[in-house]
Amino acid sequence: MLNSEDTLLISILTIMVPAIIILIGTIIYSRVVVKRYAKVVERLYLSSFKGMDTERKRIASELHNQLAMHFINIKRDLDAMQKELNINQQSKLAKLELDLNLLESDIHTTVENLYPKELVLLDWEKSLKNLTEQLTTPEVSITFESFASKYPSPNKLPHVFWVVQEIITNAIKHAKIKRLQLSILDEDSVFHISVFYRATENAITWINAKQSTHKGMGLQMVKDRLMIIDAKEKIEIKDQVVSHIIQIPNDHFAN
Amino acid sequence: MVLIDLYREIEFFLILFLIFQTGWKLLTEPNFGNQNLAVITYISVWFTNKILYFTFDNREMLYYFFHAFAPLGLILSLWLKDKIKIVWIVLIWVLGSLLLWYLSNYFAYFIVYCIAFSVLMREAIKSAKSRSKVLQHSYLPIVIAIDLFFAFSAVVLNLKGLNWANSQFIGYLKYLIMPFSLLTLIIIYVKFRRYTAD
Repeated sequence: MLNSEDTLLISILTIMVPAIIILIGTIIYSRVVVKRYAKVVERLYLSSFKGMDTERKRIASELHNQLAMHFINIKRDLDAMQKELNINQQSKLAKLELDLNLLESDIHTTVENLYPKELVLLDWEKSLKNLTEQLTTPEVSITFESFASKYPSPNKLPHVFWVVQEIITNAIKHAKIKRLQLSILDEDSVFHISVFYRATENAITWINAKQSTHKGMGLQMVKDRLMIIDAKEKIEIKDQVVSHIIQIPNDHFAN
Repeated sequence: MVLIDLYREIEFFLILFLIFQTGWKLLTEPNFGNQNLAVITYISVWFTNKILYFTFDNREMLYYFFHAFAPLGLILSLWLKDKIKIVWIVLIWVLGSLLLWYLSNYFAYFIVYCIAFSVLMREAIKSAKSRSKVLQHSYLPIVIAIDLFFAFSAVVLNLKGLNWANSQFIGYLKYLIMPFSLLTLIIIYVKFRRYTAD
């Protein structure tokens, strides 16, 4: 015969069994739903990079085509006007033309920076070479070396280009560098992109801190873009020389 | 007591409204019955229980009605809806539930309830992995399972002659059951509305 304590224990147990079934079920359900939504958010975030690149390309192309047409028209009008003016007025107009040429050159540089021509052509070597030229200033010398004969698939180039640009910009901004070397190499079916520079003590502390946390928009962008193309990033520091090595796996090779 | 009476009236009218809504959808939407069989089963048992409560005096017999029909109905509608015709499901359900009702065995209820909870949880997890339209309604089996769990707790307290009807615990539990049951009804209503809107 069951006594009242037994009955109580059985009652507790029988309440517990369905309660545990519901609890475990609800936990699994929540995990499935959260995982699904997290995946959707991640997919949206990653696809935003593609949208960003397309938009950059569109803006650059619009700027290039529209402004080029206007510049041609303005210059033609100015040439026609020049014939009708006296010498004094012609010299004033020549100054105006010079300013206009400077503006054209500035706009051309902006368009190039926005979306380089080599990126449109999906040329790996020329794109990276052009990048080093763009970022070279009288204070900072950036050299480019290529030992590659085979390159990863062209759709990976825009991601790599913006990643390398971010790494070099960070090095200029935070490590106060004077010289930087960018090398590309295909070895053992892995495509290597290496960035070498000598950094100050403070800069090395900053790199070490950021390397572990990946805080900051730029570094997050580097991480995510590399994730999209299945690439790996290694940062090595030896004798104050910092080496950023990006490795793109062989399965994406295209001649 | 006024609060409980008020709750019963609101609950009855909400179920009545849902029954009319379900009936209308069954007549107008061809796949409605097959897609929402578990929910329709649950509402039907709930509604029948209410009607019997208002018309019959034998409270002990009525007490077992819900426990005999609701969990078994949910199990069969979720397990067999894609396997056999609805008519056969209803036949097996009614016969099985009548047998359970006749036996009124506590252990049998316990087993059927545990299976019902497992089946509902499985359905919720399965729906959570399905396409987005199904995902929107995937929480419903969980809400029904929790609602069913409150009903089951009364069965446990009935074990070996515990005076559950006058139990202080059940008295307190009623105040928890009331909002939750109302919430279940509202969620079912929202699901049906969304189904129509989709």
